[in-house]
Amino acid sequence: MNPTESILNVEGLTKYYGGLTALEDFDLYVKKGEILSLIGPNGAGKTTTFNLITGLESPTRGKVAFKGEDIIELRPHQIVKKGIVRTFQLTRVFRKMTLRENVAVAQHIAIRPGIWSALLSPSERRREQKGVEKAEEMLRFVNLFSKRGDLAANLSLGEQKRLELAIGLSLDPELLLLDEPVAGMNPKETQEIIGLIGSIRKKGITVFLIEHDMRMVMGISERIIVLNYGKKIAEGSPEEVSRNPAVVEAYLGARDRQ
Amino acid sequence: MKLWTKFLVGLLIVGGLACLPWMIKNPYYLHIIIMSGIFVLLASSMNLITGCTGRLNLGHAAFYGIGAYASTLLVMRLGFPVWLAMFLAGLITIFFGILIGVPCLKLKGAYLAITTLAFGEITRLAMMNLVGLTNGPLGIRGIPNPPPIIFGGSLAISFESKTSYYYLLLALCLVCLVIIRRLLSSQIGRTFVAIREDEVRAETVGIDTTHIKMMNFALGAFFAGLAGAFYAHYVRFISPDTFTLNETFTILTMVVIGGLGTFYGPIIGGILFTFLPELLRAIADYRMMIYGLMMSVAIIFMPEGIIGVLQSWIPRRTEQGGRSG
Amino acid sequence: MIPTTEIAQQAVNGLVMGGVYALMALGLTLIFGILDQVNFAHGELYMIGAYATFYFSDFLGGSYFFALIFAMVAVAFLGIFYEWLLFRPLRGMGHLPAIISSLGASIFLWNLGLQIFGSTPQQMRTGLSEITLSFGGISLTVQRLLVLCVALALIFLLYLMIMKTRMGKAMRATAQDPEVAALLGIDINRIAEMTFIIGGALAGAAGALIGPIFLIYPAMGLMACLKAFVVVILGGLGNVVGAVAAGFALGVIESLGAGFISSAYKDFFAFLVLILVLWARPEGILGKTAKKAG
Repeated sequence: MNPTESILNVEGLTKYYGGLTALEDFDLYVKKGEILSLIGPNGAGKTTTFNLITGLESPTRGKVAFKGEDIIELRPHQIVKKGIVRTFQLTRVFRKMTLRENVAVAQHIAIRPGIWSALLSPSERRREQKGVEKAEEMLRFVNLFSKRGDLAANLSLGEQKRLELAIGLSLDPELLLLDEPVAGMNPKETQEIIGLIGSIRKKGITVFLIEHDMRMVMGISERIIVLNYGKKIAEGSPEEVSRNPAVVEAYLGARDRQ
Repeated sequence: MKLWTKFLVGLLIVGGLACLPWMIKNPYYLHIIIMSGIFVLLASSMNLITGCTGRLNLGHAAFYGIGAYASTLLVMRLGFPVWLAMFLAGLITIFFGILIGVPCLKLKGAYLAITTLAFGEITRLAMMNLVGLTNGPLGIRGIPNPPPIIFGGSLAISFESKTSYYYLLLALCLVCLVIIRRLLSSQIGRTFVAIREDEVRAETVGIDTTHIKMMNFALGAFFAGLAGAFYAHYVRFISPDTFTLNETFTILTMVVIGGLGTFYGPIIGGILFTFLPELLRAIADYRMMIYGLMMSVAIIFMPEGIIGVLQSWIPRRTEQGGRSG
Repeated sequence: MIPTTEIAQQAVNGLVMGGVYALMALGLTLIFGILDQVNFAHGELYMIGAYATFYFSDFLGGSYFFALIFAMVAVAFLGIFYEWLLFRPLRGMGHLPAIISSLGASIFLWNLGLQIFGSTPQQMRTGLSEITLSFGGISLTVQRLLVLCVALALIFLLYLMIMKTRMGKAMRATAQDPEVAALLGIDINRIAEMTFIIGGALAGAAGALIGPIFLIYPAMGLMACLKAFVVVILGGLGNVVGAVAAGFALGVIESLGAGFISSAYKDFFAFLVLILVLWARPEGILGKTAKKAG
């Protein structure tokens, strides 16, 4: 793959858990500015892939390069600084903090706080204020501005997912990893998220997402990768993938198993 | 509350506190008030670690003790001037805070609690057994009081009477609490809470949790160490019996009942639980029992402490810094 | 000249203590593995087991064996109260609240013990401490032998219970995945009660067994609890095999250390081992049974 076109390059990514193979020799690349979807039956290794890319887990083998730079050894917060941001399948928002605080806390990198500067430096205070402003701007983008003072624990599922998006976006990502952004949502909420993803894309942010909702995936993706039992079984445009017999088999097989 | 109202109220409180020694002549009551100030510092420092960041530190009395012994030994063995020694004691306690903090970085919950408890006990055992250094269980007597602060001419504040100690403690508490308040309502405070709520999430939001956790431990250690240093030069006698697990539990009770993770909670808890034993002299034997019972009941029925109860009476549209009380 | 007999003697003594540690740690690790909660008041179960045995045998003149059973039953009841009062109200709220509530209970109980029993340590007499057996240069009082035998017997019974009974299967299922267990119709409250009954009975037994060997005093639960935690951490939170192995291991290490290095610092060894192990492996030697990371 032409390195100038791809923003993320994964080679031979492998993860074993004791006797369990979560991921084996997974290769993928993400093109700058595209919307790439990763699909597959439950347990195929999708979230593991995200965990490995974002530094939450260490791979047994394999390489991950972001904009040409090897990021395997980095800790999660360092990877965020490089420009890769992820959301979580089960929303993890800071429940006891308000929406505004939830997003503001993510401005940590921008604010660069330290004890002395927190106490003494007026420019730190200004940066914090900017952080809060940015938080509000993000909340406006995802249509949660009116609830900015509410506790995150009080949000509906759809709103929580949108909050996650706001948090993620406030980190100025170049690559946004969305883990099941519409899981459990009704059609209206799903449409809202799809709209937001479109707007995100327009901002020039590359989107890499995991999803089960096939209609959403087919509708929104430019390219799809299919994973099953930790191995890549298909890759291509939505039409190509939906006609791929191996893919159909994997999903039908999964249905039979259930 | 508007800013100037807050300022006015603050001024009134500080003013009132400043006038206190004129109203209370009985040196014993003044002593209790001074001790409550020390406990406010101890509770606030423990709250930084356990309340805000959610990391249960059952060895906190060790920081208290290290500060006390450090200042004492610097003055009495190495001849440092008292003011310098007190400050250095704070720094030395930070050093130990980092020492203990590093192995604790990867630990959470019960692991952390037990390990910090172990450190606390080891510190106490060290105080008891390194007789050459600490004089063992007999403790160290005759710790010098701070030298008089001379303002030029014949104006000087000497530390012979409790009143001067009171003002020193008041100043110390005010400075420390202002610092803590500022920290808690700043980005740093928010990262503490983020780590408590969901450490993994905090990490994926760009927070260097290792750095913040170490900073947090160091802060908690520093203020506790300062409290210890003050204690040493105030009571002028220290022994390992003061810095026991019971002490840590008492401080924990203060924080839990006052309000874990809030700013005013430890202050209320510190004052309340210093006065309470005095009021409950008659049932002094049952003191720890009552504390234990209160701690369990509080965490089940009022997990946000007294502050939480007070806040629930005020219908609040939560705003910036909502939980920091 | 390696003093093999002395080493063996200390090792055997260590195994005896190890049995007690294992019993304590098993209760703790079951509570953590199945209910995901930490019981800081576990030592008080041990303490009350000791005192219950003491009062039953020394005061009421009952036989030691019945006293042991009585203690186990009494403490098992106390265990249920723990579950009802301290843990059920806080279920699902994370680790910190339960730690604090059980800590409060611990402080309450051992100070209550101080008030009721007084601070003077007591000596339980069972006559079994008087009889000493020896073979191959190693001597053991009957009491100590009994401790080892009863501990092993209880561990074996626990094994049978967990592996072979329906309740045991339900407990294992809950430990693996509480959500799935709930979907399968397993009642978490019953499981919780059972776990605390077992944990209590084991801790009570530990206290009853150790009572005649050492003095009993109200604060005895603190150090026992601490060491039990060390054992649990070494063996891995929730790891039943680990708790047993680490329990015996700690007993032996402690005994050898006390015998050959310094008996004054005996309690130190547990802490030292803990810190060293956690430094190297924050998950404990055998690690926790893997739970789904969120």
